[in-house]
Amino acid sequence: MELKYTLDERSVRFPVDESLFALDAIYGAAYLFVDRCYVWLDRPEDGVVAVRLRTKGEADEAALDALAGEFANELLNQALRQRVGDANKKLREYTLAKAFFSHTKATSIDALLAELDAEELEEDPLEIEVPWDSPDA
Amino acid sequence: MPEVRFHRSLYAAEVVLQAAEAFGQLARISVEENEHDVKLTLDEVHPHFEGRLADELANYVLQGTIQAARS
Repeated sequence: MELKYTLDERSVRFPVDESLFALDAIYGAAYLFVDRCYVWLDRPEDGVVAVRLRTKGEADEAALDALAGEFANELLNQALRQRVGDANKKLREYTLAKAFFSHTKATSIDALLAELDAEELEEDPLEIEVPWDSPDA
Repeated sequence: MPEVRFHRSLYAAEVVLQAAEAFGQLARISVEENEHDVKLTLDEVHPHFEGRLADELANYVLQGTIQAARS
């Protein structure tokens, strides 16, 4: 799959097919470039997002080509992350639910043990009297 | 007098309106809305930001839109 792009002064333009790259992947890639570029999105037709990256400083053709390559790679990366995320969604939800459930149980046991400790301290079952705590001292 | 259009399917309209207000200190900004997009017209741009205020505005709106979509 090759992303076509065009260059003009300080800008790279991509028409991105949304049937191949979801808007969320486009957002993800665009977000990573806002520190270096001005990023514009437009909708020239249904199902297509026009992405324009305009460099903040001067850039020659080689730099723009490199920028285009980086953006294309990042777009693929974001699309892949999204697919892996979708595929693992059930597993992630299960793991999270299990961790949450276990955590709740552990907390209750901790609370019960703490209650028990507090009660034992009050009872002083060994009857060890500390002399300086005695009323006669 | 730069005009910038933010397509509703790509940008959150409320973020565009919020940006128009926030950038109002740097330019006189008028807003026009239709079913497809929100158009901002920038007049009397602060001389320091001449030539790049629209670009800065675009980044601001994009970041806000992405953050809103992911929150």
